[in-house]
Amino acid sequence: MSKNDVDRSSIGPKIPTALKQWDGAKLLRALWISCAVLAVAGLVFDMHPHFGYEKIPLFHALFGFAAFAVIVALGAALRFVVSRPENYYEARNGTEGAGLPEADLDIEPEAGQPEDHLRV
Amino acid sequence: MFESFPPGLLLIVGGLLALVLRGTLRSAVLLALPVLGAIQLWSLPNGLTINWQPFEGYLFEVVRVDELSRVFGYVFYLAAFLSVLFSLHVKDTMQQCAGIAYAGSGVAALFAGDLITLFVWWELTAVTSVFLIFARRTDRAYRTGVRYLVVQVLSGVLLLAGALLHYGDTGSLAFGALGLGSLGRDLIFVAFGIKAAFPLLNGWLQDAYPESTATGSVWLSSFTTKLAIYALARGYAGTEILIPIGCVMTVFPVFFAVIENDLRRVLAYSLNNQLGFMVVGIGIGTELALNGTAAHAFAHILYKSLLFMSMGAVLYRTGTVKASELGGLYKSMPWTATFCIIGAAAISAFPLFSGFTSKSMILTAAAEEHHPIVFLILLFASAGVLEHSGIKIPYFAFFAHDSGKRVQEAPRNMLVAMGIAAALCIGLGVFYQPLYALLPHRVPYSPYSMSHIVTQLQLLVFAIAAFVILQKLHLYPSERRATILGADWFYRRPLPALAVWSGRMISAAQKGFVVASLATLRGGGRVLRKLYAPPGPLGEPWPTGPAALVAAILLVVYLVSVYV
Repeated sequence: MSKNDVDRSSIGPKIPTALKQWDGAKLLRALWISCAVLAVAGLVFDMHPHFGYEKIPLFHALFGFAAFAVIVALGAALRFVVSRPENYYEARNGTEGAGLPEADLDIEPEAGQPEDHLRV
Repeated sequence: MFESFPPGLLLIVGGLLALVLRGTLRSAVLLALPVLGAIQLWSLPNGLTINWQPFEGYLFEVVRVDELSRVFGYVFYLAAFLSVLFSLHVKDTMQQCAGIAYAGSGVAALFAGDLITLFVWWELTAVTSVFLIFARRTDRAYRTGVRYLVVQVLSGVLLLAGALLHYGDTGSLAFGALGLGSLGRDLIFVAFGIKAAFPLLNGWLQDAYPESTATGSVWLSSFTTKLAIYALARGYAGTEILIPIGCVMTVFPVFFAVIENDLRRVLAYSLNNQLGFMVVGIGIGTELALNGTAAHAFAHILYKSLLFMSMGAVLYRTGTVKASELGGLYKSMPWTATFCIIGAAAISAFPLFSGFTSKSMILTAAAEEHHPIVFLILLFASAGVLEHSGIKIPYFAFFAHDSGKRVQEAPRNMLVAMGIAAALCIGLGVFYQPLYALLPHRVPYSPYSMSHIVTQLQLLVFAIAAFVILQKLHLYPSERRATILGADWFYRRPLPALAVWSGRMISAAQKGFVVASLATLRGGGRVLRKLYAPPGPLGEPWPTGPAALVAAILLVVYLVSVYV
């Protein structure tokens, strides 16, 4: 670790304990346990279904999982239709987005920002 | 004295005052204004109206206070206070004044009792808010601002045209329940629909909000669209077409949000999706559904402001909100990250957060009114909210791969504003009764039943599980620098192209007309020359006999035409 890195990490307030102990593996374990507990709860308690399809065991869990997967898959497919190069609109306008200075920003060079990070 | 002052006007006058004030005094005045405004609203009784008769026969209801306008009024003042606090460090007078005047116009519009008064404030929200986009002072922002202004003013013009047609039909300008069915009321519906970002009318939202300043988008996210939701709830409650419109609004933005790289644009899509829930509630139109819409608008303004604040803080410190350039910021902006996660949990409607206590009301209303497909679509959209606002925003900004950016934590005023908003997101999730007491209808409703909690948690936690599995399998789409085309494409590409083409066609037609006219004149000249120039038939002197004959025939024709 270079001296510069040490300086940068000391910037700003202290990290809250919950975030400091950010541990991916533990969070994942908690997630799987939550899934199991909720699945059991859904089977044990009466879920007061409004509609016929809600009577399918674990309907909301399965629907949440499937909906998320479908959203991501369709979103990724949508990329082929609506994704264009980043300067799509600017390219033909000549001046639009020509990297003029951002009047509002207060990027602090003393925070060790490399110059190329200042671009928006 | 307070009672004769239209709500919101205080902020507009304060905005003008802030033009001449500087430093701490200006900050104090700006912070005090929303507080004073809220106190004034508190002092006004429901049922209060203030009329103004500028000339005989025309009576305007400039103020009308009731439960629906009151609940929106309080949250507008709250949002104005948080926005002022969040942008307290901004030295730019233009932004400070435009922001507070914009909030004031929004509040004033909520209390307009007739369509003309509504139109005036409606347009003023457009004119004041555009400065929050211009304030970025880039050529790109200027162009975006102009596009935004054109769309917003168009909405106002449609409102005015609709109001005048409606007046012609009914002789009334009162802004109450309207419903569809006449050209005037349909035009007003479209005017509201533009500001509420109906499908295909939504381009301006994703175009403009992300181009505003770091603080400007916080202001923008609160007022314009929720004013439109209020207007729809007032004028078109129970209009069934709103149910499919709202369903489309909840669903289509989630796909765009998956692949959008600019995180403030992701929030703009997310905003659109949340508006969809409210529009569905208005379309269902029962008392519970309308309460759900008002409660959701209230909760939404707070958590959406919080999310825009957190991304504003990131933009302010790092200079970018592009997911492809961010990551790992929790190390240097831990408080911002914490507040962002709270906002994300609130918008995802986790139990104990504000989104849960408000959105579940709309879902319950859909279930009680037997809309199985609508219910399913809203569940699907809820998984979408979790995807883009619950996971994507905090994960790609603050966690994911470390971008190596090491910056300062957000300024203190930003942190305090985010802290208050975060506290309210949790507060309204736990102590929801005060919000429920403010809602326009007295309907008993309890969000925390075992089935509500378990089904909602199942939906969310299993959707998170899907995210983890997709990430592990490298099937989650990576963040790429790109422009994602939205509804604004139609007026940024084909429409200008059509205008250029039409211009060319008109100029070609003009040219053709001139050439043809000249050719006709020339041809006519030649014919006349042939006739009149010697030796043409009319160019020679005629003998007396035929000349007298022609004169006699002309005389006869004249006499017959006059006397017969």
